[in-house]
Amino acid sequence: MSDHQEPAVKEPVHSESDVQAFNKHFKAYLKIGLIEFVFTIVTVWVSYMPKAMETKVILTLLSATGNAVFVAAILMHLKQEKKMIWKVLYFTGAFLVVLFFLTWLARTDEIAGALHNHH
Amino acid sequence: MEIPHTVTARPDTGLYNAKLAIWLFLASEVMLFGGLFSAYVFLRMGADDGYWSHGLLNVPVGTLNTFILISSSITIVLAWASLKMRQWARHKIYLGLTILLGVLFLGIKLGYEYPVKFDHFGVFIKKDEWAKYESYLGNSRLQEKGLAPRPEITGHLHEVEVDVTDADRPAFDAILKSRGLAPKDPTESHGEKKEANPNILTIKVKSPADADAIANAPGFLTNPEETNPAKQIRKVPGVKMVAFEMAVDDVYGDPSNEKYDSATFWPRKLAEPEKLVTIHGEDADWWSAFYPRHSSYFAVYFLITGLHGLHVLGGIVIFTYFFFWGHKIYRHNPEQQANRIEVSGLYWHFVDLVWIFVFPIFYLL
Repeated sequence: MSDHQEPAVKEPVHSESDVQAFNKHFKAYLKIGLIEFVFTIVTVWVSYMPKAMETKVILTLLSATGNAVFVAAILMHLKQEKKMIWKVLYFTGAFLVVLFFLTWLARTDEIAGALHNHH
Repeated sequence: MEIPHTVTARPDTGLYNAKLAIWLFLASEVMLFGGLFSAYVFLRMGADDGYWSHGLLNVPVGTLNTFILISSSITIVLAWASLKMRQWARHKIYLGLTILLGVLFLGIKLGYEYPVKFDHFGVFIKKDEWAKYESYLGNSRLQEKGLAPRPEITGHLHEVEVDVTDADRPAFDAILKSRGLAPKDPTESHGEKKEANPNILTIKVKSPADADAIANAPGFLTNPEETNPAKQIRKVPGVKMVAFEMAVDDVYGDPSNEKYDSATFWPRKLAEPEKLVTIHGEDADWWSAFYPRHSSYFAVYFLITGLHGLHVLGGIVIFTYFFFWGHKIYRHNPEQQANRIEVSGLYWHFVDLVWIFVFPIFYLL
């Protein structure tokens, strides 16, 4: 059993400075929302560009990644998150790369006669 | 006894416990969705030219759903910020908005997007028979332009012609009756077929599910008097799909129109004026509504969007609990409630993040 003591409960406060601080947060998060809307529109627009499919795939996924970075960095507060969480994510990223590498390996070493490629 | 470190950080990690736990959970979720995305990449790269579906999903609706999910990500972070400022009433407004937006997202998905798919029908034509349907497929022109061929004709299924043996007829009629279907009078439009083969029936279907029920009807008992299930003999009916009559989508009504050359979305609607095609069963390589079994594309689409939808549902359940019962903890320890909203909010942002990739890979590319 832990002998840890939680701090005393804080009473709800509604001071003028709190309201101002909230309004500041509100505006900042609203801006992020607008930026994400713009990213979404750009993602759709890029996919309609008269380019080769390979180019469209790269550009569209880049735009989607930009959108995702905003969600992770600002809304999920990763930007100012502790090292411990970053370490967890580095490991996850490394395993994810290995996972996709396996997919690539499977593509370069196809099983002859497999029917996965029909429909 | 109180659970330690629900508010204060542990000295070794610098985080309160739930925060570390949710990030570990999200890391496992990254691997879960990563595995599914890699399956998507594998299937897509392995698909033959023209066999990976394009433009079947509704981009404006998908974009709307993306906006809805992004908005909900903003409202949940505002709900958390309100709690940090100890503004309970404001917090409830934003939490309620998040729930509503989540429900709206699922409503559009389950109430509109999925049902439209289940009503649409497609027949993949055998490669050797493409020439027979050239006026619908327009593959010669696509080949000249170096574009991927169209192996499938899609639209709305109207009728099916089936070949049923006399022995199976009573049981087959029972299946039709259970679905509210009836064979058309053969003397009305197919008088000559009556003489050629009395077993061929034309059935007007209400949806592709009727065709499935007809083709995959459960076997009939050949010894119905036997009550012991172990001794019952079940016989698969001799139903053969002879032909499909369907109203085709506009691309097949005007296959030379260059606007359909692009792999991107164009509104998929029936050709006007209505254009019917009869596809012979022996020319069909594969047929299905836009179910998961239609193609690798729809299999992986329904798997990933279905799993994502379950995550959205999970978030809605958690937020609904906090909406109605969160005040109990808040009164006792507001910071703990803020932390609970923060970790569930992190989960919600992750769900948003997954959608940010699901949307382009299925709807746009």
